[in-house]
Amino acid sequence: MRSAFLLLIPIVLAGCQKVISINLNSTEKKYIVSGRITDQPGECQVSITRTKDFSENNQFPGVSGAAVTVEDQGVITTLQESGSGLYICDTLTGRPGHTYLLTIRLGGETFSSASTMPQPVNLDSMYVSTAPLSKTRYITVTYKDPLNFPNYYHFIQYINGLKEPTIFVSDDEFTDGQKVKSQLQYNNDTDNPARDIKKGDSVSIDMICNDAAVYQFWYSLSSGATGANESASPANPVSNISGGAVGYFSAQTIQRKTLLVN
Amino acid sequence: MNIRTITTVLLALAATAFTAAAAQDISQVKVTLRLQHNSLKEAMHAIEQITPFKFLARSEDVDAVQDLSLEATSQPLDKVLRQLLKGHDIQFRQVGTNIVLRYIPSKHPVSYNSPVAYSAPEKYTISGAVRAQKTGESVIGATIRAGSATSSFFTATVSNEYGFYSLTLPAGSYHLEISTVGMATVALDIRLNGDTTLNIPLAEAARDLQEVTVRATTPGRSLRTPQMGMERMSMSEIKDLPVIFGEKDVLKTIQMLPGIKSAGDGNSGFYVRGGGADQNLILLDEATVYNPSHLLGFFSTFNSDAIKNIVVYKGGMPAQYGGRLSSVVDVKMNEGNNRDLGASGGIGLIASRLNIEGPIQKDRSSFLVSGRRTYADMFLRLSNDSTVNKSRLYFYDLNAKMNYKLGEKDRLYFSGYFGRDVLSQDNLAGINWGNTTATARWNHVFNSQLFSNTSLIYSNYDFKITNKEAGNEFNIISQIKDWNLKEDIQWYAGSAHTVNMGINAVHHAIRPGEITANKDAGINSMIFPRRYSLENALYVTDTWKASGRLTFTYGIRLSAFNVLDTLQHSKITKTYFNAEPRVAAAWQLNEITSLKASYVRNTQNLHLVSNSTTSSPTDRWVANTDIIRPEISDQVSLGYYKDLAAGRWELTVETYYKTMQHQIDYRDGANIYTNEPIETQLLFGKGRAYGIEWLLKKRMGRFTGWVSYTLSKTERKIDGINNNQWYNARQDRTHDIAIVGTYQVSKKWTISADWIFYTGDAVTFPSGKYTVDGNVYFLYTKRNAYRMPSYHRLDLGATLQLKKHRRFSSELNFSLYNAYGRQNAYQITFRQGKNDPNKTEAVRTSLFTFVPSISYNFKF
Repeated sequence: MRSAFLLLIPIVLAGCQKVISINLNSTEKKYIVSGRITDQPGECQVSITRTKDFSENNQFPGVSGAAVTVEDQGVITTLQESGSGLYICDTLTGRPGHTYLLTIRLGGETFSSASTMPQPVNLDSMYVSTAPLSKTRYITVTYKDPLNFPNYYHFIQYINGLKEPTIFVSDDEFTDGQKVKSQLQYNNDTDNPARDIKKGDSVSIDMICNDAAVYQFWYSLSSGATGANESASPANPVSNISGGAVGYFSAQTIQRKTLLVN
Repeated sequence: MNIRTITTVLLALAATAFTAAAAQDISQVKVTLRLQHNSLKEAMHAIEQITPFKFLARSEDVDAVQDLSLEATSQPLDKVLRQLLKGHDIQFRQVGTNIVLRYIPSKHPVSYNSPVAYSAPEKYTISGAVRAQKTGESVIGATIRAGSATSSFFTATVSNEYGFYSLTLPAGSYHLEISTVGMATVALDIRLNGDTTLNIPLAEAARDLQEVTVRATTPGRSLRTPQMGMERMSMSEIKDLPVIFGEKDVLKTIQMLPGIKSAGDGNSGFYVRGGGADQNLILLDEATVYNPSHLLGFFSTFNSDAIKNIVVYKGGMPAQYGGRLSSVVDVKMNEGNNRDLGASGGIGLIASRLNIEGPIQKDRSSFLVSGRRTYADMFLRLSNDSTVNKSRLYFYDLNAKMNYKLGEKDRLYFSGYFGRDVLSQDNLAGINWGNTTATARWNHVFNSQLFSNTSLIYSNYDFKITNKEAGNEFNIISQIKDWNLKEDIQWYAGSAHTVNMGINAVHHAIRPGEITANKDAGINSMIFPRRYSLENALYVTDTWKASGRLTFTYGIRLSAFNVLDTLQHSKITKTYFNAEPRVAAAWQLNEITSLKASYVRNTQNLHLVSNSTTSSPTDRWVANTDIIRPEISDQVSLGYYKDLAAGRWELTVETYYKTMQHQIDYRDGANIYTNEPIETQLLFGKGRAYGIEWLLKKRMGRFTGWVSYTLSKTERKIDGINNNQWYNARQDRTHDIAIVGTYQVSKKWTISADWIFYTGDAVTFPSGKYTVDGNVYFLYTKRNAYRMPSYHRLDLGATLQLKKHRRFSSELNFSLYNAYGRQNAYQITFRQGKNDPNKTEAVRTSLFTFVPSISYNFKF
């Protein structure tokens, strides 16, 4: 309901944009954690990086030397470092209903998190549609939301393998028990033609079901920290990692569908 | 009460026209006079016979002079009088067609403005209504100044929002001057020996007359009343200023006054003395307008054709107003011409207007209907994209008013406003939103000292989102609706006291959101709990002229806010009581200088929940709950006022310190589109604001305008934000300058210009960046620790008066907004480099550079 109105903004405010230089402060470095365990094999991984100053480049080297463990019902698995700052375990496959505890020990600091994998919801279909007020093509996904149970969804879109940076998340506060049709709208603010859906493109959608805290992380990341929003007060995302790191650890289900645009 | 109508008796109702005054100057009129041991009384009588002048004097003074001899042949009258009164301690001066004689003992000169010092005579009241001669519209804020004919004593009052005034004076002769901006000053002499009703018609000042209407009485403001922090503007004062998109907008004009800050480039939203945009009480004919803007805030809901007058209170709010922390913006609609049927309107680039008014019964009752519609979607139609050109984007406003005079003492007013914004796509999906207000008022004059106004007010704001796509049909509505009953009494209790008291009861009904959907819409029908509340207030204030120099206003507003239960809407679940003292004093140092001080407490029981920098139709109003407490502000202010250059210029310097309690902000990552109790998304804290404001204003003459400068600071401290440390509010702008001028070049051309400068908003920029799953995001540290670049721009305007044909007159307005094309930053955003994804970049968006506009306005 909100997006319909926000689409008006670019029409009305067809202003003039210019890249400018701004002198921004630097700040104390923080650890950034992105971790997940899914219901698919070989997808348990945790990456650790650090923040950088605004003026530095966008290479974020991983942080090595951390002890990373995931605990499931008393069973502790240690993840192995594979490449710089990436910790994986090929043998750990998550199961819906289980709660996973993440512990990271790094240079005297400890970060921890817990996440519960929800029951999977099936991605029933996906198709190409156009948005209100424009001819832009978007993907609409459909799924049946389970009744009387809070569900949180996260969609990731790939066009010919290129990941769309927009964060598509939703909950079922207004759609509980419904057969939901959700159009994955985004603004191609970098004018990159590869981000537009065109005839002949192969588009894949990952449908992820996660828990409330992880949903809150993605929601707040997208509304407060992308640098591009209309928000009066940008803010750091609400992380589900304790101990001072920014980021998330998610026990999630994942399902992929692909279509060819014609 | 014994009220005598003496409109025609004793009164030489004379507009101070230049030509008339020149011919009747006592230095120009020559007399031939021969006196041999005559009394002064006889001499006065003789002069009255041969000249157009009448004498005003106290009989004791005149009787004291018995033996006069003189011989004059064709001598100027002033010379004759000088000779005649030599050695008699009597001075003379000309006031219009009168010659005032005054006894001034040479040993003990009477200090100016002290009342005559002998046995107190009876006091009588003169009261009535000030109205525009041509249209019968009541004139708000006209100054009625009564000067004693026999001493330098004077007193003054200001007509109220219905044009009513009342002055209580000792019996005697008075010289009255009635003046207001844009009207020719009326001067008349009266002899007060009983309670008197005097209705005063004012004629519009001809453009070329404005230079000579400079009088000792400055019509703009009163140095005497303790009211401070107030700005009054009539539409005629701002009609020639440059505008954006050809639309005059009173809410944009007031942003050029000190202490009132724009919410952004081209925006009609504003902040007053460090408060938030929702802390302004915006009233249209007493009805609250909850969302006073159209189209993301670029236009206000006030159609300039329908508006008469606007008053802004930045501090020292009168006790009759309550419910918002920062300011009161009281907008009054025109009443309609009760003499002639007329129409006016305009055609602009973005909107057209039409206004029709006329009498229902001549001189007794009138109506007004005024409409405006924009055609922004005309531009969409030019698009060759079929989805875009079938889209609609427009807004319209309808104002209507009717007033009916029941008798000499009663008058009924009905006024209404309806405005709507529509954004839709091919009738399939859309959102529309707007305000509706309706006011019924009854003015009753009990007697010359007691004036009552009873109002029943309805106010509504709602938005509706519809989606009619096949198989996906739903709509969402949200609404806030008020019923408001007000009784206000003004009691002019003698010459020293004016009492204002009243009661106010409001019922608020808030429907935060209601979704109706068909079975397969993919969305559930649901109703967010409706919230009901009662807001009652009782107030009384007295304005006390303690002495010739010292005036006090003191009073209190008692407010009670009842939260009603969500089921029956009748049980009170929580009550908040607040006592809001309102105290002010004015100390007039001399005739042109005064000092004022005030303290005011305000409370606010409704709060706007918005997390956007632009005004959004889906911003939500929430009322107090168990957790959301009334916001409270305390403001003290001090002011210095001086008239310069014989009243041609006014200097105002005001300083204020304000504290705010129970301020509301969002939690990080808050979701305001939720059915969860909104309290879970909010954080609470306090605020403070202080500053000093200078205003130098010229109201009259061919050149009018002002220079304003504000130096200020506003901060917040919210538990859970910025490590619980004080931080700058977004609208904290250190410097704020506006220079505004209008110059009448000729009868045909008027040119104008304004220049604005302000410090950029306090904003939160990133202090670092990081990656999550391959994308770059930004790290924030301190809240609002950075600044937007400074804002400045120059606007130019010109008005060409076209040839008049009998009653038909028309004009062309030309404007150039941002004339030197400054790229002001509307927002600064951050992103991964467009060309080099290995870098991050800051992007400035600027909106309006070189916006020319032209509009055609007519009237007949």
